[in-house]
Amino acid sequence: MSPNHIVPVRVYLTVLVALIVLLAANVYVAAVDLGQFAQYRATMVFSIATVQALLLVLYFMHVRYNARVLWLCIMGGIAFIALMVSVTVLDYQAREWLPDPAGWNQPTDAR
Amino acid sequence: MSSQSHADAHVAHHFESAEQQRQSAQFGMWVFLVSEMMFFGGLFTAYIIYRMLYPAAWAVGSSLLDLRLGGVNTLIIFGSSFALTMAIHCAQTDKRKSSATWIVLTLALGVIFLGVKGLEYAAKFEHHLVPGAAFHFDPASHLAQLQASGVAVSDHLRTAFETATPHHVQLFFSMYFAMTGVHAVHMIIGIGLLLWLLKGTAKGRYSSAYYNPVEVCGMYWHFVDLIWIFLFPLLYLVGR
Repeated sequence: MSPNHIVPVRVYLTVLVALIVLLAANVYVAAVDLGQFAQYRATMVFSIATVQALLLVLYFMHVRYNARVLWLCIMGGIAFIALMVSVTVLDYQAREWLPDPAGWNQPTDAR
Repeated sequence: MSSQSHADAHVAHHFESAEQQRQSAQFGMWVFLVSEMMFFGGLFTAYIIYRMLYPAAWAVGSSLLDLRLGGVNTLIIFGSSFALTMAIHCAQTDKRKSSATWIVLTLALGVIFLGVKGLEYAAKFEHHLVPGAAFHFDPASHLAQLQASGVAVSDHLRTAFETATPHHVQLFFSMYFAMTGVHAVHMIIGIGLLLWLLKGTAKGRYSSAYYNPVEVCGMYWHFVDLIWIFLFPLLYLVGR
């Protein structure tokens, strides 16, 4: 890239419009009755949010126009968050898959 | 030294060029922002786990948040991010006055965001939904309140109101106040940074030859926006 890469205003405006359209889509998906697709609500909502985040990071935060080493830094951060969330969720999900050995863990409180 | 051009005057001696200095500033800022991502990541993880354990309380809590105000605030924060990209653009193209105007607009939108947040918090105090001694979750009256505000209550949500345990609803609001509160603190710090940028811009410190502080502070502000992009669906949208 050139030392003084200047992002055209047109790009910023397009991203702003895209962010607003995606926001409207997201609120719509959350508020409307999805019927048989209701179980996919969270997936849809977070897919839209991820696209918004990508637009913001790539264009508003100029990551698309900067050194590739930034990608390593950001992807590293995302990878560790994914690890933290997934391993913790797995732990909580799997806790009741096997019975505790007798006397191993007395119930302390009703869930 | 006398052979240095105007642009080089801003380059610290340990950098080879203005561009290398700029890229280093960007990288350093991203390392900091990734540590911030980790910080919010902990809150997100806690929120996800509790939502998994107490789905009814989470559906109730989420439905009691004001989707309209939350949506308006999302619009406002997008607008402020856009205004700041314009401020950076103007700094890069030596339009000092326009740059200052865009920074003021960014600031104004940031303050409005916090004001709307304040309105939301005030309503939660009024409805006894702030965790603590005054917290009181009353399924019948809160459900009636929800219907009165024009929200369509699904059967799924009605069941959630009947089955949710009050202290789990309180837990939802603890998470809500912790996450939006910490986000608001970041925003207040961002406002401080913007005021500093405004001062520097007024003094003519930034130009097409040197605009690293504008860009790096801008990244912080956009990051606060980035966190909100995930907070909004997490708190306001998915639980419904």
